[in-house]
Amino acid sequence: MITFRDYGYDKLNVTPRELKAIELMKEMLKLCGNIYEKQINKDYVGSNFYPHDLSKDQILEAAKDNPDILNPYTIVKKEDDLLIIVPYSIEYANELKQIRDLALECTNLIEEENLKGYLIRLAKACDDDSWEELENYWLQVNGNALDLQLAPVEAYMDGLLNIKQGFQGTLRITSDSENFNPNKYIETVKAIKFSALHDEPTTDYQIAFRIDDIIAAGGHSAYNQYLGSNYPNDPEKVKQFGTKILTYANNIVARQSRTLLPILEQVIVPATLSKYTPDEYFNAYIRNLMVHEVCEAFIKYPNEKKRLKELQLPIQELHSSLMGLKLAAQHVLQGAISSKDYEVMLLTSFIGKAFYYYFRNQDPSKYNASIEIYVKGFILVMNYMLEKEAITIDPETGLIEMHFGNAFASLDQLANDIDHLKANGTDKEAKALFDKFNSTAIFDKFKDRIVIE
Amino acid sequence: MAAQNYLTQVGYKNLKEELDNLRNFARAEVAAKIKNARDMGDIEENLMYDAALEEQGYIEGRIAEIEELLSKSVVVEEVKATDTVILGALVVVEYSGRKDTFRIVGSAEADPIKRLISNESPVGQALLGAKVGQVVVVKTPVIVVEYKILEIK
Repeated sequence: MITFRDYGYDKLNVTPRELKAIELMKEMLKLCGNIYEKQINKDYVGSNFYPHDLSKDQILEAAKDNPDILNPYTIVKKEDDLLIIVPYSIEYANELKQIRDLALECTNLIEEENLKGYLIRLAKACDDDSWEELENYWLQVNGNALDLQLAPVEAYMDGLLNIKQGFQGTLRITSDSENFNPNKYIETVKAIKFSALHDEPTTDYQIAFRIDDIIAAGGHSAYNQYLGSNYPNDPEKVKQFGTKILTYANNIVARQSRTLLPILEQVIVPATLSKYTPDEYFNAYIRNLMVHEVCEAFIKYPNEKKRLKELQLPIQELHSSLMGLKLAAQHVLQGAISSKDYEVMLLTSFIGKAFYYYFRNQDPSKYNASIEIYVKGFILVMNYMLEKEAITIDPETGLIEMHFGNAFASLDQLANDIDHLKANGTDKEAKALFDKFNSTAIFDKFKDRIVIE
Repeated sequence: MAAQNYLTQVGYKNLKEELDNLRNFARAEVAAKIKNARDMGDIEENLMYDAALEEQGYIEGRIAEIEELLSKSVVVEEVKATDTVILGALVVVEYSGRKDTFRIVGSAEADPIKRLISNESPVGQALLGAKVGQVVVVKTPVIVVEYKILEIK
């Protein structure tokens, strides 16, 4: 399992002292990967955050007397039939003390105030689990070219209760890739605030947007190789601190050339694919990513976790993709992008990604529980589109034919249904919907054609 | 034949102001930057000189663009009380259970982020001429959405 990646980034325009600090931060990310390896467990839905012989109900019952069981930064253990709560700073003391020392060493090498301030707070959090304080600081600082995030952040690995945070980290630098025009996407971000996409969620908060190249990644970020992400997840915290959207330019370039077109060529009739240029595919890929992250950052409803429980993350990711496409449809109607742009967005965001994620997780050596969150949504979408005849199978070639008009109408309806679930629904309603559209037959048709690198 | 360009009174005023600013101030500023950069010596390796030349190119291009727009566009009358969507009107609509407000403008002024929607966009084309209370189908080759006109300002 890969829990550390050095991207061999060779375009660094930094001072010798910063270069030395970068090497130290890479060491910190390696250690972060070691912690993540201890946390992850592919054979148990709650990873290694809880005793494996306890049911979800038993854990929730015990938490009534001891709320720290549900603290996102603790491990729950069982000793002589007693439940013991161990804070991360103690459970992973070996690695965290080394990270702390390295962070303090870095503060002597880094002049830039934002990153320096982050390193000081990181060193503190390693000792006293003040991870919230660290995140709050990081959310409020902007403008530094070199940026580090190393902390327990996402609950993707806690499929049992969606609470315990997995360790992840990225060391990044503002990208100079010519393929990305931050202003264009910042405008898209702003557009959503004016587009009355939804009346309920508050969207009147600060938004920070970074387009970075990753220098090194550790823990979940190295394992999963995100293309984009946004923080924080807690809607109340978003209101307080705004939201920070990160996009990882070098991961995006690598992913789209390696996976997107090769997969589409195996599943879509050539007459459809040849309508679009390589640039249109690439732009659609980036546009999808941007609108997904923007929708995820902006559209948050009260008590989502409480109502939707372990289905909150699959609903959230599916919702962001569908609402992103809905936003794109409004852009078409208002003349900001063309119908062709919309079509290729739909192809890449749903067909290309659906097959990539599904087949990636079919391979036991590549299986990733956090990817399964997306796979659940993609299986639903593909079956929904089949039912609404948005996609059909060409009898001659056995490949998928797209019917974009039906696809728009059906996905627009599905977006409304999922939005309703996210805003007001329960885990039972969400489960019923996922169960109704859970056939993998459409994917299995292509199992001999698709190879994931 | 090229489609006719339209400008609202506000759009005309904004473009005129931008043109005056570019002609009267920006041109002189960039000329001074070029002179300063030249005075620094060797212009072959002079990044400031290159940047100033690039800026000058942008300014002259924009001046030519605005001059052409102003000479070829029809400036529409200011919108008075109306129950029909016309160019320049502020329209309140409802679609997919959501309300939205935007102004229909000529394509040169369009900026969806500022809720200025082009008369040539699918929404602009479909809404022009429609009346309050009317439900209009906005169609593209892929997308079909019904817009109900709630109010025209």
